[in-house]
Amino acid sequence: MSSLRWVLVGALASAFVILMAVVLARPGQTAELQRPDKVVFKGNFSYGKAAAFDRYGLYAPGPSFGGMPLVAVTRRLDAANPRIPANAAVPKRADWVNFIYASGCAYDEFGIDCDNMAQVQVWPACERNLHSYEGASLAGDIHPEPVTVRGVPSAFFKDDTMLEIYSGDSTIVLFARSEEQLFTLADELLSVNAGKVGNPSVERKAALPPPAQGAMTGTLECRA
Amino acid sequence: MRYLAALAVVAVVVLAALFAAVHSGQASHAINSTLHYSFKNGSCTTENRVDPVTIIFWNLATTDRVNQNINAHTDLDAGASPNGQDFGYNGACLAQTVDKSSCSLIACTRFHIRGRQSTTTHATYGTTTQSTPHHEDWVNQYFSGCWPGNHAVDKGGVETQGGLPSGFDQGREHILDGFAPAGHVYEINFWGNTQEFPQCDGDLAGSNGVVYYIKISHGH
Repeated sequence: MSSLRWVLVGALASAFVILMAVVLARPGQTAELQRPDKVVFKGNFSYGKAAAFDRYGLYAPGPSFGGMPLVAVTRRLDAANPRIPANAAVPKRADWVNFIYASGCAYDEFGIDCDNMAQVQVWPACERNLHSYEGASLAGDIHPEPVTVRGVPSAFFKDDTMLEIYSGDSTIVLFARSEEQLFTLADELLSVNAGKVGNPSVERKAALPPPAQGAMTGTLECRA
Repeated sequence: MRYLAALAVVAVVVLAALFAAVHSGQASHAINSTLHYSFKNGSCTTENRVDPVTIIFWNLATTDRVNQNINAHTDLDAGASPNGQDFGYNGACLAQTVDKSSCSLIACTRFHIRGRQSTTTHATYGTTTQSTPHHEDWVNQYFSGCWPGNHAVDKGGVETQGGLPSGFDQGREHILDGFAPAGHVYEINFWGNTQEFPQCDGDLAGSNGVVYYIKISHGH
């Protein structure tokens, strides 16, 4: 009886060792088993909060774009960077509401990888505008190409697949995977917080409000 | 007289040619021929962007001198990561040559910088190395996308609600905090590379688009 007990203990111990060996030998598969089935995005803002936002006009294509759902909305508002002089053209701080659309996402070693993604990041024009690029443009490091989008002045940054639209008191910054997707995204924008800062309601493909006075020259004052 | 006129015409043509040559040289040798993010998978395409470039080392910024200066002026004096990234220059996608962190262990919260020396000389800034410094947390939460352990760059927030600048902005400031007191001249520019990137913990992190140009004049 005693020897049988030892045999059982030995068998159990062996089974445990074999199980651990299998687990440790295939860490990638084990990691997948312990990760959530569905990728989770954690925004710190929402479309509802954006609709009530009253600092500058917001625009986005709604709850989805090009088959991609809205997966997160983020809000950034930093303290002013003390290194940047008050009279510099460079933005003093991040100040944006970002609408993020994505599909086909999975975890990888760098974070989350998506088959498709587009972002609409809206800044106040008093912080970010065409004037902000003055130094980098003179150095030849940034190449804004002037274009007109929905009736208002805009800048296309080919190297970055980025488009900036200057409308009212806002700079609408678009990121997409291709030039075609970028301009389709621009066509799909509609107002999110119409009336909150005196901004009109704008439907898809309609003309956008012209830039506020001083928005294109970097002299527009920010709202308190 | 006719001889002088011909000479003047030749002089104008030569000057015009020189002007064109100088300006075309600036265009082809500018940092602009770099891309403004780092990339994964050996392919510098839009879908493979990982981190925004926020610091350019310039003047005599070879890989060796940049590494020596980072060691001398900051606490990022340890090796870094198994996950290498690439940088785009003049149509080529090239592996990183700078990879330093503030913690020699993989499994720790830390500052981390990757970079790559340019393949050409900038007309104004000489030899340059672009880099993507950031602050990242070690996250090994069970049933998270980071399991069994991975780094996640800090998200940005709203300062008045207790939020901090993103890990990319913290990283850029941390590097300059070390270089500026040591007398390194720097310029402040804006590249607008503010796209946000989803991290393994689900947070989103992006730069505020500011890029510091830090002058490197010697090694250490």
